[in-house]
Amino acid sequence: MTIEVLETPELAPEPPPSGPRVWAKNNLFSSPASIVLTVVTTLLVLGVYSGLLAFVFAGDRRWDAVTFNMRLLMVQAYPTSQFARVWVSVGIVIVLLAATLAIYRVGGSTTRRKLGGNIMSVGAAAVLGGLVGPWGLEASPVGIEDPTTVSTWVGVGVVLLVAGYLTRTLNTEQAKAATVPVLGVTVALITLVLIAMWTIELPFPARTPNGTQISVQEPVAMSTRVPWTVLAAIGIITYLLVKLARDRIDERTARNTIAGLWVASFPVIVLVVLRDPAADLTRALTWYVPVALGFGVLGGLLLNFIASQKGELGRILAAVLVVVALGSILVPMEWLIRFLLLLLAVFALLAPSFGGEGITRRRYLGGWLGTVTVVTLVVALITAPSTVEVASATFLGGLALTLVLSVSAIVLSFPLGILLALGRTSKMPIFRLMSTTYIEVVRGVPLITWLLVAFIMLPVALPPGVEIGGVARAVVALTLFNAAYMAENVRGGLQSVGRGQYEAAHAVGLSVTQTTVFISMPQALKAVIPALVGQTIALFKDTSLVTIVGLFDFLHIARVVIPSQTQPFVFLGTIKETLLFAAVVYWMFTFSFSRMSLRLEKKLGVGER
Amino acid sequence: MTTGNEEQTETAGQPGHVLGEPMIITDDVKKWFGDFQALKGITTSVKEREVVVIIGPSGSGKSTFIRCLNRLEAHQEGSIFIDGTELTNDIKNVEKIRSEVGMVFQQFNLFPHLTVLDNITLAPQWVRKLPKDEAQEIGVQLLERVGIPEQAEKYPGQLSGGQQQRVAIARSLAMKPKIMLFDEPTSALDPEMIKEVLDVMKELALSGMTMIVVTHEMGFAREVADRVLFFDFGTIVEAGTPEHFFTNPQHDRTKLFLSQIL
Repeated sequence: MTIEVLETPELAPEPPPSGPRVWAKNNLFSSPASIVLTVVTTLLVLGVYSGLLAFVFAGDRRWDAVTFNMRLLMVQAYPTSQFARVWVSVGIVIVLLAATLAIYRVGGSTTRRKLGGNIMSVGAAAVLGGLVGPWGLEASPVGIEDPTTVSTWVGVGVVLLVAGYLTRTLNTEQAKAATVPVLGVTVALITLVLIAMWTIELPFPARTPNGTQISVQEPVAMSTRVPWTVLAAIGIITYLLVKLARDRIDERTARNTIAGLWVASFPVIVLVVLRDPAADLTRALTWYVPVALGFGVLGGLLLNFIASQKGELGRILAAVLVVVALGSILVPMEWLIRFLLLLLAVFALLAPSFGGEGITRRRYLGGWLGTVTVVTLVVALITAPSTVEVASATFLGGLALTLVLSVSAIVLSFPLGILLALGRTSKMPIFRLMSTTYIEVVRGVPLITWLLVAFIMLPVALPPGVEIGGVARAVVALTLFNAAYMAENVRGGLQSVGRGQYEAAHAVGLSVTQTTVFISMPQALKAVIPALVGQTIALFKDTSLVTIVGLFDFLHIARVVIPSQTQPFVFLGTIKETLLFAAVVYWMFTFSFSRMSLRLEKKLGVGER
Repeated sequence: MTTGNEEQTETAGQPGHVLGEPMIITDDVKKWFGDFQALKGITTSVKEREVVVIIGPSGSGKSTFIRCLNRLEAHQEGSIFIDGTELTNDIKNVEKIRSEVGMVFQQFNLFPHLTVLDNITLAPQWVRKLPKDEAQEIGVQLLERVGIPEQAEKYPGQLSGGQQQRVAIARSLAMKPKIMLFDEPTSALDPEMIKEVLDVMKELALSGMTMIVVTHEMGFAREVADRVLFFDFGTIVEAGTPEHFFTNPQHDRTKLFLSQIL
């Protein structure tokens, strides 16, 4: 039965007049107070912009300290002869990025209005720059001091303003609805950057015949612009290829594959590509392969047995395994065995809940085999000596070290933080007490202290014969510290999951563990994504504290190494330039993080009210 | 639902509706929240295929009582037997009973991060340990039974309240429960959505499910119930067939309650 709607809907009233003047009146000059605020803020922003330009383009700025030391800033002492490895690493990331964009169908489109608006903003900034820069109005009260520079800035700005305006309004009717693919704009921007790399000359240090150091304008060294161009091309080609192929492959499989590749890419880059571990076939055949096979097969059989137990026997066996695994700390043995025992205990504990039947069981056992293989491989790769000879105390330095520290600490502290959060909200007093104590103690002491502890006291506490390298110690300290904060964030998320969710999960018979894994934890993590991203950004920046224990991270090189350099060129006192550069690089990374998290939040918000 | 169903429901609780052995036996169940005694000795039993409707003013202990039946609340005194198993602190027993007793909540409590189909298949897959495709087959069949097969891939937040409650019923049914508990299943719904949920519940009652329903829907109680229990102040004030209960209430408290709501 349908009821006809007889009335014709009324037309919506004409929209009120709009336009820049109306907008400005409503938003900037609506009351005396807002007029004052607008004027003051405008002056302030102009002042800051002018000051920044004056700083960057001042005649005595030594930007050649940055350009000449780019390699030092990025990878510190990594040998030039092995540089292909660095480019391969960057290439892996770019290829994965391109494939991800294609498979996750990132991109969408923006309107021509918006794009035009953005171009116009850049143009306006350029015109203003021409006027308030160190060559413009401010430089000389009587008039323009450096007419060429001013006219270049203003000229470029005007061209951009016109181009942006045309983009906005050409074919007015279409322009309002017309859209531009975001990825197309990105490719255009990448092309622009590449063209700039090949044409714009940057300051580099040089010596006059009589030995005085001067700065000359030179094109960026061949060693970077050729690889960057090739990599950009590879990235774009990868994107197009994956885009062609993506309709022919199952989307879920493709997404899982790409996620797996991302997870694998980090250890592969650090442990295999950059480190190039020495192969030791004898050790592999007599130790790693037998151990992995033994644990894989025997452990698999045991897990299969435990998962198929209906009664208490499975749980009892699992509990015995936990005791054995924890006891292994007291008995001297290879770390690999300890790790595998601990993992077997965890798998055994979870087997009654997640072992399932049929394909689920096979998947669970497959997961065990995979874990054994990966853990054995990683341990083998870490313990094998590197064949790349680095003339420095630590294998990595510069931005590479900063990135490796951040990624390792974030990845490792994530599961630890979740466990601590679960412990703190657990009904079992002993877990709650242990987790709470850990969190409160770790959070109550500054990170610098923990770093010092890791470097000075950890070696004393470890059993004799065990040595941990500098980078690993820093990772341990950062991980343990970050996990405490992570735990508090996750706990907040757990508290936001309603009681009804637990009741519903229990009412359909899910066990406590299953409820945590399937119901409460996914919702908790989703709820605290903004907090977790904020923390990740904070950790990324906090890695700069490792300078205190003598690691040569990105900031340390910018802050200490370069400004005290005398060979082959003198860069004494160039700290202002290097710090500004470091700030820009840190900002670029953190800004991308926060953008990505916004995307993630939107994506996970699907279906939520 | 079809009109044929509605006509049949007229006869529910009467011929053709043969009750079996007792499924739920409670004996002098008492429960306190702090100093407040919510249940003051509930003794009753529910037979297989019986539909029992519990009514009563808010705070009378009716929700607490059915929440005790799958131990979302633990009773402190007395005993509860579900299908021959006593509810105690033993977590094994509790999990076994929970997998045999389905529950539908006032606020639906669907899992918002899972699709409708995943909401339904989760428990069969991980508690009953059915293979995934088998669980999904059951899920699709149940969605057809509750009348929303086309919503399988949506998220709960994209559904209307009535649809969500029907998904919640399907989710409980997926565990093939022997008993279904309904805790005010239509109280959070807009009036026009109440009927679609009640229709599903009537169909379920006709199919021979043992049901305990806490509700304010007197029409439903009259049509479908085999027995009506009236709760007040944590006790069963009056119990009887709907006919007896609505036309000839014995207790003054019951009379007052009925005069206020009818």
